[in-house]
Formats: sequence, C-alpha cells, structure tokens
Amino acid sequence: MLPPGALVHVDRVTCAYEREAVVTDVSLTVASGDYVGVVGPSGSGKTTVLRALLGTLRPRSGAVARRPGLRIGYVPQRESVDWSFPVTVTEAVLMARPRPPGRWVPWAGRAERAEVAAVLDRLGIGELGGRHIRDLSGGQQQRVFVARALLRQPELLVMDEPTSGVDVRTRHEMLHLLGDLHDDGLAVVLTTHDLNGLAAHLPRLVCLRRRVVAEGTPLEVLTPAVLEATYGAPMEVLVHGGMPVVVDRAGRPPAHGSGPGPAVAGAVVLEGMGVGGAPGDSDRRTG
Amino acid sequence: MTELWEPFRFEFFRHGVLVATVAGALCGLVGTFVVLRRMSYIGHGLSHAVFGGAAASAVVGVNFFVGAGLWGIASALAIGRVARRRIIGSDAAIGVITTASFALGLVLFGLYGQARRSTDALLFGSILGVDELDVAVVVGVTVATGAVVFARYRSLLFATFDPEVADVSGLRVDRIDALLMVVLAVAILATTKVLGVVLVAATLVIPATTARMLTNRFSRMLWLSTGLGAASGFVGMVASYHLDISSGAAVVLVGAAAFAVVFAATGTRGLGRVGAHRAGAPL
Repeated sequence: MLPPGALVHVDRVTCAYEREAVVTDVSLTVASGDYVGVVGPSGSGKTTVLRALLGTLRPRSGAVARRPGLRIGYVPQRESVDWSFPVTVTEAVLMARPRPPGRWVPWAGRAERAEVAAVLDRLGIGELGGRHIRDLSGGQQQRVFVARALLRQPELLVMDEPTSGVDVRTRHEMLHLLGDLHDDGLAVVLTTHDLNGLAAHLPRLVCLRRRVVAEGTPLEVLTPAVLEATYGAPMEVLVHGGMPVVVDRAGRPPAHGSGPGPAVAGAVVLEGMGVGGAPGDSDRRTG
Repeated sequence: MTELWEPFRFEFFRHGVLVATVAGALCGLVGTFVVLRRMSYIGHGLSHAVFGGAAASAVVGVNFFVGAGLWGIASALAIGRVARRRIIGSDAAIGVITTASFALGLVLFGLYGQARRSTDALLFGSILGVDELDVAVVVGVTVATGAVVFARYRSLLFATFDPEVADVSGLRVDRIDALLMVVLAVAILATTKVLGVVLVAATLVIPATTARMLTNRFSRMLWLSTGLGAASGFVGMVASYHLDISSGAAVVLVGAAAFAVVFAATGTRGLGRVGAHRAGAPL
C-alpha cells in the first residue's frame, strides 16, 4: 500500500541472495521532493535495499510499492562499469532512450542528438560527446551516467555510492550537482560511505546495518550511539556551524575506505564544502 | 593475376567462397556481442554442444539443421538459465552441458558406425562440399541475424553494456539475453557444417577482438568485425585453394594474421581497449 504522496514504499522487506538474509525488516518511504542518503558499513545491505527499491531484487518477505508509471533513473557504482566497453559518451547516454515510435533505423535522429546534447550541456560535459568513457575524469564519468539517467526524465534518481573513488573536488561538484537536481524537483536516494563529505549535507539519512538503525536528519542520527550501533566502532561527533562532523575517539577522522568503519573526511573536505576549517575551539563536542 | 581468379571457374568453389564469406560476416557480427559480454567460452562450448545434436539427428534420421538446431538452442537456454542462478559459475555450467553433449555425439557416431566420416566433417567442416541448401541456410541466417541486430540495436547494446540499469529502465533483459543466446546457437549451427566445431569458435572471437582494437565506438566495432569476418572468409578460401591447405584452417589463419597486424600497429593502445580494465578509470 503506497502512502499518500509517496513515490516508493519499501515495507518491512527482508532480502537474501542465498539462504542468509542480507537485510531484515527494512522499511523506507521516498516521497516526491525527498533527498535521502542511506549510510552504513560495507556489507550492511545498502545496495541490496536500493535493488529492492528499484525492483531488480525480489524480497524474500515484505513488499515494495511504486507509484504506477514512476520513472526512475539509476546510476550504478563506478566500480560496476566496464570501462573498456567501446562506447562514446553520446552512445552511453543514448542507449537508454528507446527508439522513437515510427523511427525504424537504429541510429539517432537529429532530434535525439539534440536531446542528448542538451542533457550533456546541462551537466557541463557538452563538449565530451565524442570521447570514449574511459578518457574522462571520475567526475565527468559520473556525469555521463547521471545524464543517461536524466534522459528518461525521471521523477526519482537513485545513485549507488556517487562519490566512491573520486577526489575532493569531484565530490564537491557531485554534491552541488545533486543539490541542483533536487532543487529542480527531482527526488534523490543515494548510498554513501562518506559521512562528512556527503551524508552530513543531506536533509535525511537512514543508518543501515542489515536493518534500519535510525532515520532522521544528520543532526538527529549522526550521534555517537547511533554510529556505534551502525558501524560497531566508537565515534564522536562535533557540531561545526550547525553541521555534524564525525571523528573517531582519538579526535581524528578514521581512515577513508571501504572497511567496516565509515569514510569521514577532515578539514580539507570541510573547507571545500564551505563549512569552514578544521574542527577547533568553537566546535561543540557531543557524546 | 588471372591465376588468382582461376578457382572461380568451378561452381563448388564459388559456393564455398560465398558460404565462407557470409559465414565469416555472420560470425563477426555475432562475435561482437560474444566478445563484449566475455562469452567466448560459450561460443566454444555451444559449437561442441551442436556436435551432440548433429549426432543425435543423424542417428534418428532427422534433418541436421532441425535436430542440431533444437539441441543447440536448448543447450544455449540451459546454459543461460544455470548461469543466471549463480549457484555454479557460468564457466562450469558451460563445461558440464557442452562437453557432455560433445561426448554423447562421439558415442552415438561410434555406435552407429559412421564415426570416421561424420566426425571429421563436423569437427573440421566441409567448406568445399557445401550444397545449395547450405548456401541458402547460411545466407538466410545471416540476413535474419542482421535484421535482429538492426531492429533491437539499442536494447542489445544497453543489455550488453549495463544489464542492471537496463533492467531498471524497463528493458526485459532476460528476454534480450535469451534472444542473443538463440541467435548465437543458430549462427553456430549454420556455420558449424561449413567451418567445423573446432574452428567456428575462433571465427566468433578473432574478428571481433581485432575490431575492438581498432575502434572505441560500438557501432563501428559491429561493422568492422562483420567486415573482417567476411574478408577472412574470402581471403582464406582463395588462399586455401592456391596453397592446397584446409579451407577452414585457412579462414582462421587469415583472421589471426589480421589480428597480428593490428596488434603490431596499435600496440598497447589496442590492447588497452580489449583489456579487462573493468574498474576504476583514470581520475
């Protein structure tokens, strides 16, 4: 049963790939205009929840309801892309567009090429249409796949680890891009390891560790108790300029990566985000 | 120069050249998907599975194309189904299904007393012994395959490049995969009688791999692979006549020579295109 205004409702879903359940009793509702981040350690079931939400994985129990006719754009993890595949930027974007009715030849017509060019221009990669996808920077590659998703004029954009493996500047650009798309009325759901660089900037977070540990604004859920329950490691949270900053017990950001702990970034990232310098005397320590 | 065209006076040779050229083009076209999906082993395995079907159809007196065709399509769909369930790896699934089928073919040919001739013809092809029906089958299958690729170009490309996103976008990826497996099985069936079980897998892989080294565009790769396959078939047949060597082997060797030339010309740039650079592009 879809709640009023909801685009997708994941209702007490349990998913498994073999016998063992990967996520248990997970519920998540995404409404029009939502901007939601799903955070949790590796193996916590973030991608599995996305797959259930997208409909590519059938839950063992529970139900997923989508608004009839809902258009979803999906941007997978960069690691899942075959970068040696022979496609140019234009081909990669265009393949998602079904051939227009009445057009019987497979190649793109003038109108379709103009449509692709407009989407690429909107994302700032308009001059890269003829380049092979491997010959781009990490940020440009992400934009190509966002462009492919946008070509279908989605109402919901789903992204799996959009800032995984990219540098600070690219992460900054991606955050702004997603913010702009959300401001244009697109609902966004993403997964991320990046607590300080990305998750703390989102309006709503879901902390996941095979089940939903907590859900709310970053200030509500990025607390030492919730983070320990989610990541299984003690962490502290500073509040700087009204925004939570996660650090480990020793007062330094834990190592960035895909281990069991979260990827948290320090002063450089925060400066890039316009949040300010390193956590200092003015910070309020919680927990 | 006139010596070069001398064999074209013979009808059997004209048939052979036509079939080899068209079969090469067909294998080059289908091979593009085989190589990009990293299914080379499936092509190799399916040609062996068809051998079992050919033996069974010979024993029960059914037409080769009907019996081996049904057998090959059933094998292709079984491989796809087993591989999708992820209980065992697709390589193991292919190994079990196709080698069992091949072994069954050997046993049937042995038991029913036509082992030597039938086994040799199917293993190595009989390109100079093709009749008009064989020509019609290879041309018909090639036209039909071209029509399928033309009509479902974007779907085939999307499902090959990014099946998960294609699925989310509303494409029936399972149906596209099944369609491709049927096309592959039919293409192998049509060309096995001409090129042989042993060599058909090479004609699926070599032109497509060579084409990949020459371009970064999917559409160009399709054309190049088809053209290289056709050229290998034509040049290989002519070379086999003049050098008095096996025609199937000559077709494959011409393709391999083209690969070697392109490899030498493109160096690491070409290899990088083919290589398994799956995760993490330069940032």
